[in-house]
Amino acid sequence: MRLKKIPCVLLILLLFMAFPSALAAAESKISDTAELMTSSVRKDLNAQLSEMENTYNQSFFIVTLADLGEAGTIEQYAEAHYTNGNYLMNGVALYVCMGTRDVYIYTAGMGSYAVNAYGEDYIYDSIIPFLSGNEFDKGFENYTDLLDDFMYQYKNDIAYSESYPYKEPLVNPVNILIVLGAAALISLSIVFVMKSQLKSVRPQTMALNYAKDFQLTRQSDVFLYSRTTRTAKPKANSSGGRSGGGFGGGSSGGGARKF
Amino acid sequence: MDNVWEYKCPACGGKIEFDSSSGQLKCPFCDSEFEIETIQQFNEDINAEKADDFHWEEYENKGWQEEEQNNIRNYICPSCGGEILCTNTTAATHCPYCGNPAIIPKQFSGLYKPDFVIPFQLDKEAAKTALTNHYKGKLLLPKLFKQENHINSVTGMYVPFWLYDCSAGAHMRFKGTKLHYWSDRNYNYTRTDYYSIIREGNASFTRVPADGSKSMDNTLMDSVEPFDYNGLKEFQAAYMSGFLADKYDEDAEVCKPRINERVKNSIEKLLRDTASGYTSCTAEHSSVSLSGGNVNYALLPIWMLNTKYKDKLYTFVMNGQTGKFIGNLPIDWGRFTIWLLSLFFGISLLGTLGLFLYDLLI
Ligand SMILES: [Zn+2]
Ligand SMILES: [Zn+2]
Repeated sequence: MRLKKIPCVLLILLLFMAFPSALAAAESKISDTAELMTSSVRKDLNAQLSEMENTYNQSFFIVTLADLGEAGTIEQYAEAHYTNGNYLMNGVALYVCMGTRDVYIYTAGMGSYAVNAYGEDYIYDSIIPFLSGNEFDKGFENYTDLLDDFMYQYKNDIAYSESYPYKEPLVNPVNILIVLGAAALISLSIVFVMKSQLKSVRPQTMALNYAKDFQLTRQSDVFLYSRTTRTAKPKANSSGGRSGGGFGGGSSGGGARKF
Repeated sequence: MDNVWEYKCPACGGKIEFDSSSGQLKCPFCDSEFEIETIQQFNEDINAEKADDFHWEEYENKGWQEEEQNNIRNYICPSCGGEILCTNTTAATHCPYCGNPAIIPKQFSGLYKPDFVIPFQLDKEAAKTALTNHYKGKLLLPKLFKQENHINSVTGMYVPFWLYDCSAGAHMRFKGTKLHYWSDRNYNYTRTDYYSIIREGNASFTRVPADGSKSMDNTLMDSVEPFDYNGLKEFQAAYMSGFLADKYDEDAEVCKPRINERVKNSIEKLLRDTASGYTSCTAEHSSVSLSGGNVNYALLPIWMLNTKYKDKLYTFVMNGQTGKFIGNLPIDWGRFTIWLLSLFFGISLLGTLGLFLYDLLI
């Protein structure tokens, strides 16, 4: 799933080296009015979204706002922005407003098939922790990666849904570290077994080979006393995500979220 | 005042006074409460505890007969001080301990005559073959060690052993714990129940061996145990023909602490193994008494092989009766590192590949 990004990233790097000025000029996929992203991330995501646009032939972009201006809600803002803008019929756009701390995934046309209600929920749940922690770079990177995965899946198979849920890719830094740690443990224990084969001289501390006629002449097990300790149970976290609704299919599925 | 007793608290060791009029039995230091029978029994038990008592009979010297003694020669190695015996008909050419070829005759002085001997069952060729087998499958053994391996000497030698018979009785007290877990809505609970576990028992030990040679490394001899005592024969000087014999220079008395230790550990293990069903079981007291301790002197067959590698002497030992072969080998740290790194990278690669394949295919 995420693998296909490696050639993608390579391509971008090549492009970047070939036409640095052209790339800087084409930052049209990101309108970061609230200035939430660092410029390098802005560049990277812009390139990634452009590439996706070519691949899937849909509009993808990210808009950040300081406030909503005249629009009453972020949904209204998005609706007007998308329909009045020069965008394709199909697309997925992310709107973030710092003033109201709203985040909204707007889907247009076929975009809502790839990112359906399930997809919106999934993406919200993944990025909101970053946004509310003001880790905007990570949040937007995460959004773009997930969007790419959802689009890829929709294009090549069927869209992710409740009955066909998104699987986190197993290749991630934590799992690689676990693999490396396990490899270190296993290889160390193997070589130490090999090393122990070289040693065969050990003192005897027992003489059980020479013992016989063992008899137990007295045995008593008497209860003396008890000690009881208790530890408080960790409280279960009650702030679960909202459960996904049905298939939207319209121009925009679920509503916005706060972060 | 007659009605007040003093007890030791099983939980903290503090002094508990029991007033029969109040009927209360609560430790003032740790607040533990006890049944009166429990604490009486516990205090009776700890008051009856004794120290270890190892009692052995004196070893009785059996002297050599005149003509036997004339047949035996005594040599000493000026290099390492090792002393060996052999019959007139056996050529003693070198010291089996350090390989020094210049050993010198020494006046044969009145030594104990062995009670028993286990004759050699395996010959020199068997010892050499066993050495080759000993190298097999040792992946970290330096290649050069195998290739350059000129065995300096292969010597069949009777090593003097003291064989100890005794019966051992032991009394042990353990503190045992059992853990119980449960929980309610807010808490997880752990209850530890403490038990006083008493075990008494006895066992007899037959012919526990300890080598009586200073020159011979004790752990080497420990490692070639056990011998099959069905092969034990009444000693005759004729068995020594063709082999060297080490002269004992540690008498039965000197070796006793090693035997006491082994017998004590063994009877304690036998008793401890009967205390089952506990989460933990810690010995709080142990007293072992040995009785009927009897010692015999025996010569047991050992093949010794010496080799030098990088100026270090490596000694291998084979049980001349059972063929058990032991001896520490040097390690090739280069190979160790190569194995470690290749295993690490191999396993890491496989693991990571597995993750990638999972992502690709599933
Ligand atoms: Zn107490
Ligand atoms: Zn010597």
